[in-house]
Amino acid sequence: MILSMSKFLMSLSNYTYDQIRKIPVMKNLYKTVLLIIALSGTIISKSQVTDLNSYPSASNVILLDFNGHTVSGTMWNVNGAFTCNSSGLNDAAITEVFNRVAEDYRPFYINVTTNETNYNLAPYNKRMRVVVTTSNEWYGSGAGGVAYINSFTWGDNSPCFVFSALLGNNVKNVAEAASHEAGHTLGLRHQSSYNAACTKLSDYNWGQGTGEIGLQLCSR
Amino acid sequence: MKNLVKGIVCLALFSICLQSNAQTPPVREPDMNRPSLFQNLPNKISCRINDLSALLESEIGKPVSLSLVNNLNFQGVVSSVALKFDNTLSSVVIRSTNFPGAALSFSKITKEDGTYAYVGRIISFQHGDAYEINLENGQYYFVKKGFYDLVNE
Repeated sequence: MILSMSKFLMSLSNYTYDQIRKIPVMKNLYKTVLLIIALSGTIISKSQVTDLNSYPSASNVILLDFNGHTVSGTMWNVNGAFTCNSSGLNDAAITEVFNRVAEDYRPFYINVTTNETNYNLAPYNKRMRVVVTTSNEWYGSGAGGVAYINSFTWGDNSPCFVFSALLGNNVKNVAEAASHEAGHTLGLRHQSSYNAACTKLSDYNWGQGTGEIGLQLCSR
Repeated sequence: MKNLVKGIVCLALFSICLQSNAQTPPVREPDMNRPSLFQNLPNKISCRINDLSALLESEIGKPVSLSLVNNLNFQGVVSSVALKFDNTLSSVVIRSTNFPGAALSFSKITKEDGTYAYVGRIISFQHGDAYEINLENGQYYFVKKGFYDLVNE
């Protein structure tokens, strides 16, 4: 069957594209092929976004969860279980957030991933779920994210949060907030800013420079 | 006039783009003057794991009472429970009725070797102090912490 089809296709090689297109069978074939290519593209692009890994062999895992998550049984659940919406980011934005966070954690033996299975397989006290969500009403609107210090090792499935809508769905801000909150769960505190007299100006330090070459300190 | 309008529209769009790129993320300075909730309680309280483990069987909405020190109990209502990862993680959250704003979370984790680990905290998001369950020489304690030692934005 394949052989005969190949012979048939080869026999068409002397025809121009327009001539081939006008053959009724070929017209449908082309439509089908184009559909299959488009469908494959969609599936491949989707699977790429849901299975991004910065360091697949590492047992320590930071899961960037963009799909929404129901939180229960954790210190966040003072008023009961609640469900967070998805991030509101498209696949391209998710990929960029992943790349930025992965780059931030590149020096460390930690797998930044978008694959929940890798989170579930990680040791219970060596993992963190970063829930990137538009749902912030349960916490308020004063901060772009929140985390428990050192919760990476707690083992009780407490996630940290990045509130994408409060960050204007700005990919750079969402990525920096994800690295920031994940850093808290690993025990990092804010790098405060001080004036020349060593008086504390802010718990946060916005870094130096601007744009792509700006240096963001770990407080961001 | 036509070109002027086009120019203004372009400029407005450009400004909006610039503004959205330069958007400053919302941040909140920590409030170091939060009131204390546990000022009358010791910095370290022996933790009765068996009593806490019994709470894991509780249902949402059930009133519970946990003895902390001497005659002082942590009273509250179960607000959330969870049983996850093939029952290797069991958790309960209790919203306090006698320490306003506070909640206790407690989890029992079954490790790969079949032994158990216990984690938990008592935190109020309106107060400056909190407790965390720590393991010291084989004994679990509630150890007093600052709110910002446990929570950061």
